[in-house]
Amino acid sequence: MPIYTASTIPDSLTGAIFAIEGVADAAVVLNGPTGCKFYHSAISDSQFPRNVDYDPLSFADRCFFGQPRVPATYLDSDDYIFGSQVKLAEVLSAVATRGYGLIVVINSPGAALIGDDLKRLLADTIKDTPYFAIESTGFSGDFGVGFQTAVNRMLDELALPEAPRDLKSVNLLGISLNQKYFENNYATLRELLALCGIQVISAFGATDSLHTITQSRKAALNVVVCPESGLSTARKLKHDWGTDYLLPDQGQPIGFISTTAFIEQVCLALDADPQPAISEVERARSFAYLHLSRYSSLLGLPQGAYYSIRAQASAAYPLALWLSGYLGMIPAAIEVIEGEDGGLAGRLTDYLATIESTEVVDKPVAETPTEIIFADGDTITASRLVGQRAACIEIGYPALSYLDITRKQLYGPEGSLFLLEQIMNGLRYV
Amino acid sequence: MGKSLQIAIYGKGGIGKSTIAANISAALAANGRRVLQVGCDPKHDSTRLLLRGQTPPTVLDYIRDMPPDNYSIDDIIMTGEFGVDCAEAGGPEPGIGCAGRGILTTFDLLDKLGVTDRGYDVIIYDVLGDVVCGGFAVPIRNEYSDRVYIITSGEFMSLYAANNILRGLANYETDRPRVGGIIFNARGGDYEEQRVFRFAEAVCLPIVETIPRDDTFALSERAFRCLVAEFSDSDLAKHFYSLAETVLTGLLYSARPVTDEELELKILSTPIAGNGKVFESDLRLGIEAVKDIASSASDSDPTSTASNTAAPTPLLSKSLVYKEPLHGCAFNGAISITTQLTDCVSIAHGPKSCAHIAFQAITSISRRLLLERGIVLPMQTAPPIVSTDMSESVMIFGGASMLEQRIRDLQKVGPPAIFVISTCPSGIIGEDILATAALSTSTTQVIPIATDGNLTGDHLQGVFLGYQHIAEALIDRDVTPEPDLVNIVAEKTIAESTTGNLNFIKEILERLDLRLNCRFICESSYEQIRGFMRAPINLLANGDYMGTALRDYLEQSFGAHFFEKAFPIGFADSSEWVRNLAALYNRPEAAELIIEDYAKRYQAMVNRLRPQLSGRRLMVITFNHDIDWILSTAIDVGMEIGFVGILNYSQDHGFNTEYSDQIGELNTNLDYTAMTRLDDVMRIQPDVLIGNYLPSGSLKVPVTDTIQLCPDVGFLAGIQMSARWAEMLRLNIGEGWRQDADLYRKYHS
Repeated sequence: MPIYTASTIPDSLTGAIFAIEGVADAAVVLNGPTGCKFYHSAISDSQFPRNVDYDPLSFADRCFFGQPRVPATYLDSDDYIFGSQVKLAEVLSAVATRGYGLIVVINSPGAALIGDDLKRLLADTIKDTPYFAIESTGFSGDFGVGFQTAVNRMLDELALPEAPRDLKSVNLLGISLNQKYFENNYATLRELLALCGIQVISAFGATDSLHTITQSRKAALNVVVCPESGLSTARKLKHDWGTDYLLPDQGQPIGFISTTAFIEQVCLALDADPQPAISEVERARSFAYLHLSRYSSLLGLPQGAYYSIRAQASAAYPLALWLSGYLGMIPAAIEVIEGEDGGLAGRLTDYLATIESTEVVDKPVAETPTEIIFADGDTITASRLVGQRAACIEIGYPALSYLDITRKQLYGPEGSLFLLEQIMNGLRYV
Repeated sequence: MGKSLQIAIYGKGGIGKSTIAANISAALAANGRRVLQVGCDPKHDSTRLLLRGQTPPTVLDYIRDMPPDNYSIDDIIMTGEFGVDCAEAGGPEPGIGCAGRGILTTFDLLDKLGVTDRGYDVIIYDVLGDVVCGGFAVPIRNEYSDRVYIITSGEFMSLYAANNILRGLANYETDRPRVGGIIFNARGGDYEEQRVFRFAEAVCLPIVETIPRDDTFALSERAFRCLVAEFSDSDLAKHFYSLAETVLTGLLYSARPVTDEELELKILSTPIAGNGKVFESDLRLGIEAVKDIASSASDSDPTSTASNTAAPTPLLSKSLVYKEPLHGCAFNGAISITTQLTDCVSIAHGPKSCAHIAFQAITSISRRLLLERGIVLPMQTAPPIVSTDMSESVMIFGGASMLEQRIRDLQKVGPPAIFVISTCPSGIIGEDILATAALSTSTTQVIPIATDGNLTGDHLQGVFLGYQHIAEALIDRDVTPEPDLVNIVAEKTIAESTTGNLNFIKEILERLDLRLNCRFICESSYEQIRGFMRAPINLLANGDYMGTALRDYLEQSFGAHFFEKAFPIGFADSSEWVRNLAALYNRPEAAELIIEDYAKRYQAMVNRLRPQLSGRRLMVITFNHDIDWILSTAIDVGMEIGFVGILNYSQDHGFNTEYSDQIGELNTNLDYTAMTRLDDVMRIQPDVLIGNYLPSGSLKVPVTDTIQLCPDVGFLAGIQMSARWAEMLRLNIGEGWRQDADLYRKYHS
C-alpha cells in the first residue's frame, strides 16, 4: 500500500483555538459542530491541563459534552440554514458562569460561511466578562496564521495601556501548545535569560494568565522564538507599541550551537551579559564531551550516522546545524513544515549547500533510509510501517502518547543533553 | 412509471417569476399533466396563488421539527388548482443563516422521499433571482433540471441577474444544452423591449414568450388565484397555455453568458435605434440548437424516459432519530470506514483541518500501540487520506476543477477505488461531489459519499453512509457461497480492543474448523469486500445500535444471513455463543471442548476471588448499555449489586439486563450529574465502584475501576476485571495520591 499521507499538520483553526486555550484563564467557545470540538478539547486538555480532575459529569452542560475544554454550539444542519444564534446564546450563558477572564468565540470553517453576527450576540449575552469573536480563522491556513490571528486580536481587545519599558525584559513570541515540551521550553528560556539579568514578561498563548499578558507592554524587546507562530505578532507590536523585535538568526535554541547564538543575540540587543548563561551551556558541553568521547572511542559514533528531520524551519535549521556541525552526522532527508519562517528555511538550504547535501531537502522522512529520525509521532509510525528500523526521537506533535511527567525540554543546555542522550541510546547498533 | 421532466424557472427577485411559474403549472395541469411546483425562495410564497392563499409547511421547518424516521412526503405537499401539487423550501429570516444551504437540504430531502417517483409529468422549480451560491445553483444541476427558463424584464438588474444565471448554468453544463430560453415579463420602461431583445441576441437565446404588463394579474392575485384559473378564457391565459406547450417541447440551447463589460456597454448603455423585434427572427440562425433528448424521444410524453433504480433505505443514527445533539461528524465517521479498505484511497474534500482531525483520530491508537507494544497497525498508521485543502478562494469560487485534478492524479497511482467525502464547508457551498462518479475509469472506481461534514448527521451516521456506499458499490451479489466461510461485520475501527477481540474469534473459528472470509470492514481489500457474499454466515462483532442497524441493512439489501448473537462478552455469554455457533455447523463436540477449557480457568478464578469479593457491594455507573458480562461475573463471585446507573450514550440505546431482580437499585435517569452521583455513592457505600470515567478525589470508595467503552470479548472478560478488584481488596493497599488534590490546588492553581 502506498503512503498517501504520512502525517498531517493542524491548520489555522487549530492555531486560533490553541492560542486562546494556551491562556490560563481564557476560554474558547467554538461556534461549530462537535466534530471540530472533540479533538481540540482533548488536545488542549492534555497539553495544558487546567482542571485538577477529569470528570465528564462535572461538565454535564450540553455544550461541554463531558470535556473540560472548548465548549461548542454543536451546530447541525438546521443551524447552518437558520443561523446559530439561539444555540450560541444558550452556550454563552452557560460558559459565562464559569469565571473565565476572557471568552473568545471562534467560528468553525462551516460556521464562518453563514455569517452570523457574533458580536451582537456576545454583547447581548455576556455582561461581566471580556469577550471577542473571530468570525473566520481562514480555510486551510497555516497553524501560525491562526495562532497569531487570535493572539493579535486578544492584544487588541485587551487594549494594554502604554507602560514604562523595563530595559532588561522581553516577551517570547511563537511558543504554543502545538510545540513538544512547550511549557518546559518556556521555563528553560526564562531561567537562562534570568541568569543574564533579563526578565521574561510573557509568552502569549503559552500558559500565561491574562494578568501576566497585560504586563507585556513593559518589555523592551519581543524575541521571536518561532517565527512561524510569532513573526507577524512581532511586526504588529512593533507597529502598535513601538516594541523592537529580534528574530534569532539560527531559529529556536535547540542544540548547543543555536542556544549559544540565541543567548548572545538577545543579550546583545539588550546590552546584557550573556556569560552566566553561556557558562551553563559550557557546563553541559563538558558533560556531553565526557560521554561522547567514550561513545566515539567505542563505536566511532555518532559521526557519520545518517539523520532525518521533519519539523518547521525554525527547529529543523538549528537541529541540522548541531547534528552536522557538532556531532558530525550526515543528513538523509529533511522535510520542512510550511510556515512563515523569516528566511530560516533558506538559511537551512544554504547551510546544507555548504555540506553538499541540498538533495536531502523535501525527501520524505518516513520512507528515506536513515539511522535516526527527528519528527512527530505520525511520521515515526509511518517509518515503521514501511520497514524502517531507525531510532526515532519525538520533537513534534502529534506525539506517540508517552506521558511526560518529569521535566523534559528541547531548548537550552538541558534540552541539548536530553536530545544527545536519546541520540546516543539510539545509535548503538548502527 | 417514467421520469418526471424537471424545469427550473429562474429570475431576479420581484420580477414576477412565481406568478409566471404558477400560471405555467396551472396551464400544464389544465391540459392534463400531473405537476409538482417547488418554491425555492426563503419567503415561501411561490405556490400561494395555486393554493388560494394558503402556504404548505416549508420543507426546512419540517426537517427541523420532525425526526427523520417519521418523514413523509405527504406532510410537505399540498394540492392546489387543477390538482397541482405544491411544496415550499422555506428558509431562514433575512440576514441570518444560509438560504442556499436550505435549498440543498430541500432537494436532498425531496430526493430521499422519492419525489420523482410519484408519477409527476413535470416538476417546476421556482428559484430565487440570482445564482448567488452553490445552494441556489442546485436546481440547475444536471440531475435536477432538464430545462431552464429565465424570466427577465428590461431593467438593468433583471438582465444582469439573467446573465449571471447563464454563467451559473455554464458552470454546470456538461454533455447537453439545457436552456429553453427567455421569458420576457414586460414592465413597460423606455426601450425595455429593445434591451431584452438585444440581450437575447447577445446570449444566443430565443424569447419564448412575452408576457405583457396587465392589471388582470393584480385582479387575480386579489382573488388569491392564478390568472389561468381566475380568467381562464382571457388572452393572457392563452400566453400561458402556449408557454406550457413550449416548456415541454421547445428547443434547448447552450448557456452563453456575456461579460459584464459587454452587458453594460453593448446592451444596457448603448442608445438603441429601431425596433428590437428584428432580432427575434434572426435569432435562431446563429445558435446551435439541439433537440432535447428526452422531448425528442417523446414529444408529448416527457415521462417516457423511465428510470426506476431504487436507492437503498438510508440507515439513521440514534442522534438523528431522537433529534439529539450530534456527536462528531458524518465526514469523520465515513472516512473512518473507507480508510479500512487497504488498497483504496479517500479524498477529504474540505479544508485542511477536516482531514487533520480525521487522520489524528485514526492514528491515535496506532501511535500508542507502537510506543507501548512495538506493534504497527497498518490501516491506523498511515490511513490513505488525501485532502483537497480547500482555501478561501475555493470557498468562494468552488473547487470542482481542483477536486477533479486530485482524482486524476490519484488514478495514476491505480487504486481500485477512490472515495470522495465531503465536509461541512464543501457541503455548505454546494460542491457537487456526486458528479465525480463520472470520473470512474475501467481500473479505478470513483465513489462519492456526500456526508457534507455533519450536515447529514453525526459520526455514526457517517459510519452508516460509509458502510452503505461501500456495500452498494463493491459487493458482488453473484459470487457462489462456500461452506465453512464466515464474515465478521461491524468491528470498531478505532478501538484498542479490536485486535484482541479478533484474535479470540479467530481462535474459536479455528477450533470449530471455520474460515474467515471478509471483515466488513476492517483492514479489508477491495476484492475481499467484493467477495462478501462468499460467506453464507456473518458474525456480528457488536450488538449495539450500529451493529444491529448494519446487520438489518445487510439482511434486507443483500439477503445476508447472520448468526443470532454478537461477539460474546463474559463466560455465560461466550459459552452460549460458542455452543450455538457450533450447533449451526453440527460440531457440538468441538464447542464443548472449548467451553470446558475455559470453564476450568474461569471456575479456578471464581474460586480464588470469592473469598475477597463475596458479600462486597458493587456500584456501576456507565455509558455502556450492555453490562451483563460484569453483572454475571459479580454474581458468580458472590458480590451484591447495590446500584446500576446507565448514562445516555450517543452510540447506543436500549439497556437491558437478565439480572434486574438481583440489582438493588437501577437508575436509567439520563440526566445524571456529578452531584447526584455523589449522593448515590454516599448512600450506597459501595466497596467497588466502576464506570467509564471516575473523578479521583471526591468519591471515597475502597476500589474504583474503569470499564472500556468497547470491552474485550471472550470467556474471561468479566472475571479478569474482577480479579483486579479482589487483589486490591485483599491486599488492603492504599492510593495515597488521591489525597493530594489539595496540594495541586495549593501549588498550581
